[in-house]
Amino acid sequence: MNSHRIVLHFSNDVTNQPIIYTLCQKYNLICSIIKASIEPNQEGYVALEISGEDKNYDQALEYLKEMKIRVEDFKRRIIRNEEKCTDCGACVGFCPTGALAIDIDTRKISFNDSKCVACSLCTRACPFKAMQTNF
Amino acid sequence: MEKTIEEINEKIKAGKAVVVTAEEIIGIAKEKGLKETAKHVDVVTTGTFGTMCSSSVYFNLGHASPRIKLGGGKATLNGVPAYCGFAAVDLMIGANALPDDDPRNRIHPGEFRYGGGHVIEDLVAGKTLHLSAQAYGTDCYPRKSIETDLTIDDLNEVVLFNMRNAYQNYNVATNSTDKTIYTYLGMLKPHYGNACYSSAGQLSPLLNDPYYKTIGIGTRIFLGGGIGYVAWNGTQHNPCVPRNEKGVPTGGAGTLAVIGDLKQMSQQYLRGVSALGYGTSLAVGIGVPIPILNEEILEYTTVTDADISAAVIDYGTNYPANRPAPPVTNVTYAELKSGEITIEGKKVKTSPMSSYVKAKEVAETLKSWINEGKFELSVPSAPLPGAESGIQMKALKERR
Ligand code: SF4
Ligand code: SF4
Repeated sequence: MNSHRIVLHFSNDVTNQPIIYTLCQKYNLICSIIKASIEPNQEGYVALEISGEDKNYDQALEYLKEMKIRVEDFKRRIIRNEEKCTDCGACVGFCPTGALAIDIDTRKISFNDSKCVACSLCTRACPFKAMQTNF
Repeated sequence: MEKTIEEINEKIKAGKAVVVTAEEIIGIAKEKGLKETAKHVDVVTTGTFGTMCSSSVYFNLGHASPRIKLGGGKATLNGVPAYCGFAAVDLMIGANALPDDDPRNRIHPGEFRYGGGHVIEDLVAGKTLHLSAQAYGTDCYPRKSIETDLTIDDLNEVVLFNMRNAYQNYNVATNSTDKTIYTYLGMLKPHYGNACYSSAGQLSPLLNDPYYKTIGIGTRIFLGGGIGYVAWNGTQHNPCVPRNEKGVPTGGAGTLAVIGDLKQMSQQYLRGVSALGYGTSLAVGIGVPIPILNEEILEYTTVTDADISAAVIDYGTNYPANRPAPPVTNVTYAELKSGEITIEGKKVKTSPMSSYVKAKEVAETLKSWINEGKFELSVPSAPLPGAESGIQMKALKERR
């Protein structure tokens, strides 16, 4: 069983469809929602952590393609601009999940995007605007 | 055995000076002993990189045709107001300046996306900025307004001047109230939810020369990636605070006013800051070389994070009220850097506000400049007021 973090982008004509339900029921995937913004008849997105058999996951991706839902790697939605980052650490205290952490020896600030829940607190906290989100 | 700065400079010229950072010296002195190390090592380089709110840049625009006198007028750079209290075309812009139309904290906490600190960063980065200025017009300076684009290369002198920075030790901030607060030391969660600190600790310039025995007016320093000088003591220079047996002040003490040519500096060490709910500022990299003239001066540079203790102050109550009150607790930098301190029996997460990584980069860069013979030490023209000066910080008296 593998887990994947992806963002689904819905156009306004599919926001009324039971997409997540289908992913769970038909493809036997476990979906936990990290972040979402969906309203009827409007464009929206759902960031998901999906786990399940690889075969089922691949079939689910086919299904999403048929439904014209754009799938994006979650990693690309919250990024750290390495040039702007000064390793100051101001973000560390804000990050609720430990995705941003300080290395006690080197004092460098690491960003582990697999722990990130896209709360965007760091994008507000970072004095140098190094944390950038597309949500 | 005493050395002189002149002797050290001779060694620098000959490529023979032994230069180490304030972090490296700790291990070297431990291994070789103070006496041996004082003989062997010539210079210890220090460094700090953090938000320095008293930063400013003054510059000369050159005269327009026809002439305009901005003294007494108004001017903005990229919408950020510059100070127009001098002569015709000398302007000054401070790191905390904000555009008139910035919403500030009307929606709290304000984001402060662009201000004086960002103007300074854009200038040093060579970006194009828009100048908009209005004057009242005189017989000799008839023009009343000007709109133009400029870069740092179009200007005559462009000088970074910081009236207070490189604080010798600083408060650690926490918050006892039941609301999250937004301060210049970061966001502070309620009920001692976290604590923020800002000094580079054992690498910090004035903590390595706690009695200002080598750092004085005229000391040549690393400033923002270029060469600068200590111009004076900084404002709020407070050398008389109590000190521990290693000379380390127990709270914010000495400060430096520094000056240097912005045209030589780099964006790598001058960064605009947007502090949520607080305002804009400028993060500055500063490094001061300490000549190891004798064993005593060497010993001061061996200060470690465990020797430096700082006061934890409640930024939810006593700090804003400016009430004299004992600190919530005292902690060492070693404890702060472990990521956790204890306040009233509760484990509290700590996070830094200044970059130790960059501070180290500053100290390393200064070290390589000296090793390459690009940077010689200067003999200060006058000392900074010291612990014997009797200086007392005054609070503002309000009369009416
Ligand atoms: S607050 Fe911003 S600049 Fe500082 S370590 Fe975090 S991402 Fe980097
Ligand atoms: S978005 Fe939230 S969880 Fe992700 S790194 Fe930033 S603060 Fe941490």
